[in-house]
Amino acid sequence: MNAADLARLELAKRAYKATPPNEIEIQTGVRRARLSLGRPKARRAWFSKGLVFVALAVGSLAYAKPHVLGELVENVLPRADAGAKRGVGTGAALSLPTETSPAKSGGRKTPSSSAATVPTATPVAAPATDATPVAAPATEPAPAKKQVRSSAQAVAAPAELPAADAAAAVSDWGRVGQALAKGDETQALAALAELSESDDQRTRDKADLGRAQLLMAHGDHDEACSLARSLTNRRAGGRIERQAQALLKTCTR
Amino acid sequence: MDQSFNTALELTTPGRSLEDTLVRESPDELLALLYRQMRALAGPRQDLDDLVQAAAERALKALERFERRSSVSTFTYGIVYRTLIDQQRWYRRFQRRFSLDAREEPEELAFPRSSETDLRELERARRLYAALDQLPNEKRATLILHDLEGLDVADVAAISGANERTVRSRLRDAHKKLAELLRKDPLFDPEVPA
Repeated sequence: MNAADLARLELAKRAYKATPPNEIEIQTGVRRARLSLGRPKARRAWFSKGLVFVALAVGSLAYAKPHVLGELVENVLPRADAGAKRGVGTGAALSLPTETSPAKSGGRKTPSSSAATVPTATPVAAPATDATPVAAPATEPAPAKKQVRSSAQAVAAPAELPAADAAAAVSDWGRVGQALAKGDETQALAALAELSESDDQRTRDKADLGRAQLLMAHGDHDEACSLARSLTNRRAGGRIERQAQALLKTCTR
Repeated sequence: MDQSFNTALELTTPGRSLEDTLVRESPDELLALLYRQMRALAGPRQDLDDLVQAAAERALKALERFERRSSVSTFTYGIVYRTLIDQQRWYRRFQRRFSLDAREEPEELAFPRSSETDLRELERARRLYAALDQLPNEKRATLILHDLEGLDVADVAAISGANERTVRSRLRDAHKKLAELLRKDPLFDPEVPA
């Protein structure tokens, strides 16, 4: 470098010194850097991963079993405290409403008595079908004071009573539950058949659906499909009709 | 430049870690120091804030490893230097794959407005940064640190992680290239009165 180049370098240094960052610029940069550092990046990354996982899980469930997702949203979430829920999966589980009303004998069910009883879902393992989710007939919450029992309590309670009283104490739905708990499907079907002749339309629909599911699980597809078809034809409505339609899908396979 | 910052550090109680002092008690001073250093090395540019933020993240992580063998200023300069070099390498790789739109106008250098700044000096500074942009990254940084920021060769070597001979060699090459570029510019003609 000659003298002229050194002089040019001096000019360059002078120009460099003449344009330092002013305080406003520095404070702005500092503020932006501080804001950037203050962001909880790790937590956001975890949150987004979790969100993707949940979305994938729900999406897979919706794809594989769309009716399950609908029921989950409609029924399970609002009744998160309702206790036992029905099982869903390849190994079919039948859950039927049971009731233990000591004052009630085994007579026909009337609309008023149906409304006053508290059906409690009892998950009872049934013979596995071809990946058919067999669920309980819809249960309606009673408007009056309720006594919700767990399935274990519902099944165990009659056993604690004397044998003579127990038979009287168990209602129609209770007998269905007891029969299923013992694995006696014939008796369960008989109890359901009695309920199918009830005066209450809703009770009849529930009982027919239960029979259809039980028959389907038992392998009697024709009768099960016939019952399911009659349920959809007579517009049983709500969850009962949806479950009947789900049964019908297996009939067409 | 960072005298107040170093004074604050000297007042640090012996039992307290440096990280505590910098991050909890004077984080803004640390960020201001990083900003000034990045502004010196990178010049006034559009992505200066991004560079400062990247350097700040690195600095906060690296503070635990700081053993006070050098001054804090040299330590942070090293972080700023590596951040800038890494970003420029990344940008070079990015340009290999993606070409920017040719119609785009080159970035206008954002100098702070100051009534005290002579317009001639402002224009000269603008051309100086344009000339410096034509130097290789390491040589450009070495020239800025040594000639314009006034650091000695040992400090520049510590900052850039090179030995002193390499620094001198880079300086020599940078001087040669910069002189060639400035020779073509009449604004840097020493015969012309300022």
